[in-house]
Amino acid sequence: MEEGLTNSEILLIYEAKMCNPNGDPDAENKPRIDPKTNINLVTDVRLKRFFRDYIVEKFGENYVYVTKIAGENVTAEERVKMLLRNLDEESLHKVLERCIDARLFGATMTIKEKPKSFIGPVQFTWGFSFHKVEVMDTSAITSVFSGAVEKYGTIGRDWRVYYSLIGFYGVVSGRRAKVTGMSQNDLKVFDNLIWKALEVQPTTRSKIGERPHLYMRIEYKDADTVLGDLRRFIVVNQKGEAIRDFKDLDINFNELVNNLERNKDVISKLYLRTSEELSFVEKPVKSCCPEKFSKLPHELTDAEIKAVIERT
Amino acid sequence: MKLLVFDVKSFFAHFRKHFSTTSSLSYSFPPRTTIAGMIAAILGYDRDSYYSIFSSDKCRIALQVKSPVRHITNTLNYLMTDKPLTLKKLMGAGGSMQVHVDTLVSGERELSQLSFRIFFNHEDEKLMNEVADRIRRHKFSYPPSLGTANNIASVEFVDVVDAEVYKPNDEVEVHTVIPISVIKKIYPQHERKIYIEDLVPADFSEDRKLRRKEDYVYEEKSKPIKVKVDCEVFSCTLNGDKVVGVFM
Repeated sequence: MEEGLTNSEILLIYEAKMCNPNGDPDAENKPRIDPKTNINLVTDVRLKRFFRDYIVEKFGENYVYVTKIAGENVTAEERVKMLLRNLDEESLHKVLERCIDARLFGATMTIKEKPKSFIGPVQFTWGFSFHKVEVMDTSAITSVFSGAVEKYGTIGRDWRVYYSLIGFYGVVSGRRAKVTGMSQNDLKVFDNLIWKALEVQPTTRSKIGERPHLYMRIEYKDADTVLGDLRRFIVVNQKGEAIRDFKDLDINFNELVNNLERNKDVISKLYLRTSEELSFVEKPVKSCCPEKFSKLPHELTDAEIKAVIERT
Repeated sequence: MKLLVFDVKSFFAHFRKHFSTTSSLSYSFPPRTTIAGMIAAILGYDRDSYYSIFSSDKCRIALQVKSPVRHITNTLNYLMTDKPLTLKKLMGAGGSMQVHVDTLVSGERELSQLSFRIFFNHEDEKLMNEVADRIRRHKFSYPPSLGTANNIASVEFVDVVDAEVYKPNDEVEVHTVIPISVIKKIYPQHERKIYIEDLVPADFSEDRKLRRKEDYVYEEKSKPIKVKVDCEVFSCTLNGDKVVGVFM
């Protein structure tokens, strides 16, 4: 663990086109939508799942504490060995050492029958669409839903939204990083891979159509600064009659840039990555503090990323 | 009495009701104990270390619900980790559990933030100055949140004011949430919607046991409620407006 990990604030914008950004398990897996405002909601857990799934796919499930199967960390054999009895402090340390998601997002585990929680240094709020969304007329599908291995499929419905431009806001706490042992490199891997995950992970039927548009991480000089939700500075207006595509929206970043300008003295680094469509944001953001600006991704080779994840 | 006034905002919040089990119900505003926890996080105190520091005899907290609050319910798949996991569970059978989470959003209009105004006094002037200084400069030991850690909050300094504290003989118009235990009479008024919030924790003992709980009333749109109370109230001026409050 190195000294001097400081706070950061993160803004992530991605789109979901003709797909289901986050289904509600209690409502036929309908997209989560606030019924009164028609704003699309996405849980923080869904976002973290992109990152975890990508790690599992690329490096194997040994490096993720919360895996898809349901449970805990490491290989199946070790999993059972570790989990059939209660964990002790040492295995807990092992979990943090081995699982990058536990270092980033925290973990809850049972030690001597007492639940112990680590609040992760990287926290995201729920994401929401910057505009009202419309749900597509659905079609019935047949599928074998999870949990049951049956001969016949169940008939369900395939809910999707036409278009949703989703924003997430997150905070990185330097002080909490010390507790879980998150390193500067862990964070760099996260910067690179969350984008990658959003690009390549949506390959299941209901997720095809998701694409990242903007990732910004504002790194501060100390482990105390938190300026607050960055999404409040973004103004999105509808251009056309209906929102079906990115070009039906008008997005204004002026307030965000003004806010960066106002606070540039407390900023130590400014990381940004944008899609083609949002590349116009780069110039004004960079001009706030050109000497602190860097474009993402970080220059990390696959081998280097692997070394960070494996802690070798 | 010196009062530090600050606003706490966020798009989502969740204040778990202490008596709810499988469904995660939420209070409509942060309980006094949550606010104390938030201030403790700003100062960097560890979990379970601050209950006596912020007990009601040393520290006074009042809360104004600044924007209407709306509850939405979402279902999340949780993993059970409170019992040792079995192989069966690990293979995906009965491993996860659906939990209904009651989440607060602003009732004002879409994409607006929840907003709570907090009035804070502590007998330790040094502590109070440090909280004020940190909020003014946006420097927090741990990122403040409204309830659970993922509901990251924006904290905005409003003012440090000299408030007059007195026991009123007549009825007063109160802007903050009011414990029902101190109310002698409520005067219903036109276009005021009064809400009740039951069984809200107000004080913890050293070992995190509930020492005091209160039922509160508040007005939906932050309008004052006319009441006769049997307790001290505070009165101060914020941006030219008179604010009267009762401590939680």
